[in-house]
Amino acid sequence: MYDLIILGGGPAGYNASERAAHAGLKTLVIEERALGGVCLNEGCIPTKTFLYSAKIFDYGKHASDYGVTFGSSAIDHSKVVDRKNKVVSMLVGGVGSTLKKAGVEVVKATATIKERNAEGFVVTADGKDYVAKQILVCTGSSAAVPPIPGLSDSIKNGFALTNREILDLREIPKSIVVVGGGVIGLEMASYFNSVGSKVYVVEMLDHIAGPTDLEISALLQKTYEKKGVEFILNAKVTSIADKKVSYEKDGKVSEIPCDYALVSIGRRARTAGLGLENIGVKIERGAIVTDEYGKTNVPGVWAAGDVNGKSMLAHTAYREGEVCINNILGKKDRINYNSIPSVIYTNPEVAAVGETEQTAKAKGLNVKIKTVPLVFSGRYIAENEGGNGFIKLIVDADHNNIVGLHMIGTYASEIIYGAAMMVETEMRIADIQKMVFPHPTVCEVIREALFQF
Amino acid sequence: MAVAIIMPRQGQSVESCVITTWEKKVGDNVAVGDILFTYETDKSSFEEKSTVAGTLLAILAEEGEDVPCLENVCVIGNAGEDISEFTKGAAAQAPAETPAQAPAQAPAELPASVTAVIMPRQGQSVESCVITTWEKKVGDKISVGDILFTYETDKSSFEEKAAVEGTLLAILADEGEDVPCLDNVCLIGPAGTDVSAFLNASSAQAEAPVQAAAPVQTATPVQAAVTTATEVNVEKISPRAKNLALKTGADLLKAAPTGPYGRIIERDVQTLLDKGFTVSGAAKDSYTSAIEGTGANGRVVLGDLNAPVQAEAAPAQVSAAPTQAYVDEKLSNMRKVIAKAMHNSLSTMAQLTLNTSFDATKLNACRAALKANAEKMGLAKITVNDMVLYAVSRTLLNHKAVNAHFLDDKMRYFTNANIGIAVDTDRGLLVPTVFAADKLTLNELSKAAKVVISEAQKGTISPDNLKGASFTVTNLGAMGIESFTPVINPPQTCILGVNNITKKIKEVDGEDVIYPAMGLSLTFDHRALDGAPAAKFLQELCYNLENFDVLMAL
Ligand SMILES: Cc1cc2nc3c(=O)[nH]c(=O)nc-3n(C[C@H](O)[C@H](O)[C@H](O)COP(=O)(O)OP(=O)(O)OC[C@H]3O[C@@H](n4cnc5c(N)ncnc54)[C@H](O)[C@@H]3O)c2cc1C
Repeated sequence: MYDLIILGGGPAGYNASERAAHAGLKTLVIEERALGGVCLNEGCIPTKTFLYSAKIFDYGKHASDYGVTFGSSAIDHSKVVDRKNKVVSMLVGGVGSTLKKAGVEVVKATATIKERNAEGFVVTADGKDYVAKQILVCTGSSAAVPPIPGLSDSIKNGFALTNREILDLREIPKSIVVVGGGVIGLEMASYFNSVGSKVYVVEMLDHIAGPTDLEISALLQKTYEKKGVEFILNAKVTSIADKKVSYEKDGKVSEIPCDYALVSIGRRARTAGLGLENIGVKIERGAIVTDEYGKTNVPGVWAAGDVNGKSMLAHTAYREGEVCINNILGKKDRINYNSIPSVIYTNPEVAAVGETEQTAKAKGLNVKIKTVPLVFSGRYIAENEGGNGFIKLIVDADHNNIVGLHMIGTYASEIIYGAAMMVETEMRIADIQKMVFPHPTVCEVIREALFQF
Repeated sequence: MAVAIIMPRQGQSVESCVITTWEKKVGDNVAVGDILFTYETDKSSFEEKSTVAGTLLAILAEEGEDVPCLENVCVIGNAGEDISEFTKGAAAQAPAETPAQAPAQAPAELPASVTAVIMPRQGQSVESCVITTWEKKVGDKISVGDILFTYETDKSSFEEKAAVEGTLLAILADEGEDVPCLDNVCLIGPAGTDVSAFLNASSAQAEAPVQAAAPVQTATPVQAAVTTATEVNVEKISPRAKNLALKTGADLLKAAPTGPYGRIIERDVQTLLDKGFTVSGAAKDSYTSAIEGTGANGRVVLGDLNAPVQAEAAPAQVSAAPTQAYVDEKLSNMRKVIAKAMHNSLSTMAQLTLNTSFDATKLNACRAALKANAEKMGLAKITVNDMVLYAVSRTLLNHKAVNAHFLDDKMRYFTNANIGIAVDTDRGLLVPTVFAADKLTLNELSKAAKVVISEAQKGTISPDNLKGASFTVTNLGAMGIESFTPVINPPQTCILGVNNITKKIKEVDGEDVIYPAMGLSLTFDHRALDGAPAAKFLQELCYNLENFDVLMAL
């Protein structure tokens, strides 16, 4: 009899299990593939190792702009994959030993929820029944594979890849079509562009990078166009087959021959086959419905991470898992989705938190907006020949607190957490003006922007 | 012997502390565990509890004074004792005003030279601690600072160091024992002191800790929490508290002031922070009445201000200092037990009540006859209630689910009618049992009931007679109650309420006849039995009561 069974050992699950065990709950994690989930094995971390190799390669290509000449540079993609595997196994091993130390039990098997009986919830894995007073569902998500003609065959024959397969590709494709210009698609487009593939991005919307600030996504697109990526917007993919991707744009069907197609059109919560229906857990649009406390409609059943279909980010998953554990322990806690930062690890990086110009307008907020180029930072100029990044600060005009910050440029990924704190704690401009930022840094531009209101 | 109380050192780096409030004044009786004064460092505030009993003989540092750690703060001893050694040249403020108040309800017979060491309270929510090990045994010599014993809460463990020297005279709680906080744990005093009187007294009163160290202290925070937020005057705040609040964004509207005269002091701000009650910088200016926050840890954020919950904000003019139009009184143990039992009963069972009445003409006639002949036949003074009990005892065994216990996964049917009688006593409700009432004659039953009722009222009843009932009768008829919903005493399945007699009309042979109708209210647990069997029991009971003369003849 467990206090808590967690289904899935990704960021939501493994982190929650550690917190639960520390608080003294007898906790079991059931994971069918590998601890760390998508994030560690086939998501955040592997892509970041790829992108770092590409960044070094890019630096090399432009080193002469900074007075440095190397002999010749080359990228060995297979070695990049080897290194990625090393990094992944190190991190996955780390999660395993952390959980062991915390006293979390881990079973490697596919879990299904069998029933609820007088004792609690019964979860079956590898033919064995486990019973717990409460369960936390963290089964994450997988790449969405829509019924595009030819797609399922193409996945079978290896022409179409999802994030899982592409990270183990040993060759650099001569050409690749990225279907879906969201975060995952853009990061992979960036890598293959850097290492020499001809990259096409086909996107259904009229802009890339989904909910990103429109000025930033336009600059990002322009930057990558200069690097040679071809963007086909407002286009609907009609078939993926025979080493060709066909799409329809403005009523006209065209096709792009290519070595591979990457399908990155979204993620689907993993709720099917879990047995959620056996205990009556409510599902909407394929995802488990949760409230801000992580509760589902069934008392004692909680869900966190991608499986609730809300934010689909690893750090959200961590926090959602913690919120569930806190509430399980009787400590009221809720998640504020408004102050969750997001990052696109392209080069330049894009990072954002809070309201965008567009969402603020849609909500009818009374906001003031300032855009400040990063060249206000001495360090940015020193390190970026011809750099044109900027930050955009969204301020609530009634209360003078920061409600959103968006930036494109170096270090954006590391800077954004500070902005997230400003948004979460509703710091006012006057409060932040009294904070000292280190010099010279790129984040100083935030401080500079404050004095422009 | 008088003892000086020193300013404790709260941490290595603390040089001195400020006295916030004195909770006692010179001349006051001090019991072990009483709060003497509160004091604060720049970070936190503390209460100093007395480790000795006696009279507060002198106060050596006033409120607001910054006292170096380990310096004397006050002196406690026997009333009238010479304390010049502590006050030295200091103001002669001390013994002059020591009232002759003998330690009136002082610890039963504890010689003045003996100190009772109590189980410290480690935090508000800790009710008791378990003694882990005794480091000293009875007869050991004790010096100040010696570890006496170690003890633990469910979270942490602690060492108790001796604050006085002497000989360990008695150990009152063994290793592994769970000792309520502030209860005595051991006695220290001069070797050979006779503490037997004290020990006997303590064992006699087993539950009630002898030292009468009734913790007065909690009173303040409790009632403060009751004051509604709008009544908090955020202007009345100590400078330290204000600083801390400014720095941290503590939500002062939710403060429960515990300083003198309703002042918010630093520890109140700390309490707010511990609870996560803060306000964001942006929300601060337009935040005027306390509301629940939805930010991280409950921070009040802008979105909360527009939430339409403020309707409840009390009208502003009420904020005139609320006079204490109430008296707080700690619940007696018995009240606590009753509270728990009643709540448990109503929250776990499926209770409902059936009301009916019967024609009490014959019952009254029988009673009159019995009364008239009581002396002649040597009968007890038989009451209407006795007669109802009798009828119940003769009806119960025909209805096994009514004379039963519901034990979650099984029913326990009783072969005798063990009838509990609800008795109102000075200390609250007691339910003594008359066992096997079905075997007793009316006269015997009446006598047996009188005995247990009187024992219950006197408080001499054996606990065994307060258990074991299979059915309970409660009578509010004497107080003019016409019908009510008695609350079942779990795990019993039923309880019968007896009501008063009212006049009712019924048609007999085409004529309206007025008759005395006595009301009965039967509450039953629908988990254990359904409405029909419960109603059948009532029906038969009414029949038996209406034909009481026949019943007696059976
Ligand atoms: C290519 C890519 C790049 C990404 N980059 C980033 C990034 O840079 N930053 C970021 O924040 N997020 C990123 N993400 C998103 C991030 O990976 C997810 O948000 C995160 O992994 C969600 O964590 P989770 O615990 O909810 O689910 P998952 O990581 O999906 O973990 C769920 C786990 O549950 C297991 N499981 C599922 N069903 C069962 C079952 N029935 N029985 C047992 N086990 C089961 C799965 O095997 C899996 O291990 C990226 C995603 C992808 C695909």
